[in-house]
Amino acid sequence: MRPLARVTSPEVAGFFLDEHTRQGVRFVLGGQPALIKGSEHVTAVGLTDGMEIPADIVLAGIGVNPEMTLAQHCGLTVENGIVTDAQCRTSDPNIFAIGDCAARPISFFDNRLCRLESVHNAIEGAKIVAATITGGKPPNLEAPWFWSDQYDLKLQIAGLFNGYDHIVFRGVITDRAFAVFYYQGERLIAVDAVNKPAEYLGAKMLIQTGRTLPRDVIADETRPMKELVASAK
Amino acid sequence: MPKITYIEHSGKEHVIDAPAGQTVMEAAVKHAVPGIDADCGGACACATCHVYVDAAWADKTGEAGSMEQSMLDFANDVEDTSRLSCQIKISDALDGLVVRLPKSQH
Repeated sequence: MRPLARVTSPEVAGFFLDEHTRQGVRFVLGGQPALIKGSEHVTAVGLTDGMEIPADIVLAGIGVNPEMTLAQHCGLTVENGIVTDAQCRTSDPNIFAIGDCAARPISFFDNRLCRLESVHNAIEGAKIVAATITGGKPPNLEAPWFWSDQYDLKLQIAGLFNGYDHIVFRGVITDRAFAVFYYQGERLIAVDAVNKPAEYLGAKMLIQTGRTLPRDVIADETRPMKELVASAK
Repeated sequence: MPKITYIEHSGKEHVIDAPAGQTVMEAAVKHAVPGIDADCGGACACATCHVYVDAAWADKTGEAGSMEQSMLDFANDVEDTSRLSCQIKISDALDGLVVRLPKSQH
């Protein structure tokens, strides 16, 4: 078991695990909370194995499942999320669904049905639906992107790493500024950039335009990312 | 309260009373100024709140930091006066600031 298993590779997850550990955070991976102790205030969380973790504040981050009851009552097609077409239209043409609860085909990933939990996805869905309903100009679609600030580390992710078979580092982890590129064969499918905004934006641009760079080229830090992007086919 | 003027690419002006402490991006979004998308919510993570700061104000707004500069490198229609408006904090010294918006944030 490891943190961030759903969103990034073991390499990047391990980096963040180490970083939090260094900052004094203790991880109890696989721990199963059984009870919260305290009378007036919480004093501890008890786990099923008997371990007790003293606590003043408990923050429960337990993940999300899409709420699809309403959609199911309407007879809409649901799988992992309310299924829509590229215009965010559900199986009932008069009903649209957007945001974390909806799954739509993503053109940059062979129209794979994706349920994305991100601000960008929600905003883009809203733009698509607004354009569809009003007959306006559809938005320029972007490759899925995500970000997270942790301590002085800015993690920026573009693309979807699922199904990668190669990873390429640009920069070294110990510098606390590096990018990890995910490839499926020769095709660049995602980047995790830590304090490397140019690598993030460059890779996002490549993914959006269906271009790629050879793996040894993208790893060459002597050439600026912008120059590499301009040379990509 | 400091007044900030946003000029859309079309030339349309929006004058906003913006409290000190907000960023130039936040004030624009709160008043629905079109042309500032700010998709990441102000984390210097998306480069969709790109503005041009009138040269007369450049000293007061300061310079882009290294993270911001790297993001701007990939934005469209970047000029010497380009900034990400989420990185400009409004203060009384910026009362009267004028920023122009690019044609598109994407």
